[in-house]
Amino acid sequence: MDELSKSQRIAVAGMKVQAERLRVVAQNLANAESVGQRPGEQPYRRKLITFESALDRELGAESVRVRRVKEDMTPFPKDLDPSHPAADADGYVMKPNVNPLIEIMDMQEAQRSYEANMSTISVAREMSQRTLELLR
Amino acid sequence: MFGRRRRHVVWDPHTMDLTNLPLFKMVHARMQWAVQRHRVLAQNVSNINTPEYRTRDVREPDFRRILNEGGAGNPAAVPVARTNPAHQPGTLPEPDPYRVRAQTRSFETTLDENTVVLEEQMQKVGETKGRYMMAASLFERNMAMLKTAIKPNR
Repeated sequence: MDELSKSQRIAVAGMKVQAERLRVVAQNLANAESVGQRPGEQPYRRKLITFESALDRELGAESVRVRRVKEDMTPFPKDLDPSHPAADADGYVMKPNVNPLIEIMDMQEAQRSYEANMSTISVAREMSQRTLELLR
Repeated sequence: MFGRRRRHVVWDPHTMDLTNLPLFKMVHARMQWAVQRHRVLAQNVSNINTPEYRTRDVREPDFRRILNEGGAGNPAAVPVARTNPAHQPGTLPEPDPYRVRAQTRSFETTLDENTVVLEEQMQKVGETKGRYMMAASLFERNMAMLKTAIKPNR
C-alpha cells in the first residue's frame, strides 16, 4: 500500500475514534437526568473514553484506536427532593455526575479533531491527484 | 562491430534510466520524503487526544548524500526470502526510507502528556503538500524539456 493511502487510512482511524468519543458524549448527555428508582440505588455514572496509539498490522503503520471506555469515579452530587422515590432518609437524591457544560466542550473538541483528520485526507487526495496528472 | 554497439545500447540498463539524472533523483527523493512525512503528520493528527503520545517528524533528505552516494535516506530493506510455502511472512512493518523521530521540544504539553499541537501539524501538512507539488511540477517541466530535446526537427 502506498504512503498516501496509508495516511488516509490513519486519518480514517482518527475520525473513527472521535466519532466513538461523540457517541460517549451523547450517551452521557442523554443520561444526564437518569437517577435510581429506590433509595440507595445509584444513578447513571458518567463514561470516559481513552485512546491509544497502536500498530495496525494490516496497514504496517502506527494508527490510533480506542483503549477503553471506563467510568468516571467522581462522587455523585446530591439534590434535596424528599418526594422523590430514590430519596434517602434525609430527603437527598443522588444525581448523575454528568456536567452538561463539560460534555458540550468535549463535543466541540471531538468535532474539531474530526475536521482536522478530514483535512489531512483531503490534502492526501490532492497530492495523489497531482501524481495522476503527471501521466497526462 | 555494429552488432556489439547495438547490443550495448539495448542491454545497458542505465542508458535511458531517468532516475540516474541528478534532478530526477532529487525529485524522487523529495516526493518520497513528502508522502512519508504526510503519513507521519496524519498519524500525529489522529493521535491528538492520545495520552502520552509524542509528536513525530521526519528528517529532511540529505541531498548532498543523495547526489554523491546515490542513496536516499535509509538503505532499502532486504526482505528475507521465503523458500518454502510453509514459511511465515514477517509481521513487522518495513522500515521507512527516512528516519522518524519523536520531537523532544514542543509548544505545549497537555495534562495527559500529549505534545501534539494542531496548528503546528496543519502548518507542516501545508508545507509538505507545497514541497510535493513543487517536486511534481519540476518533474513535469523536465520531462517536457527532455521530450523537446528528443523530438525530431520539424
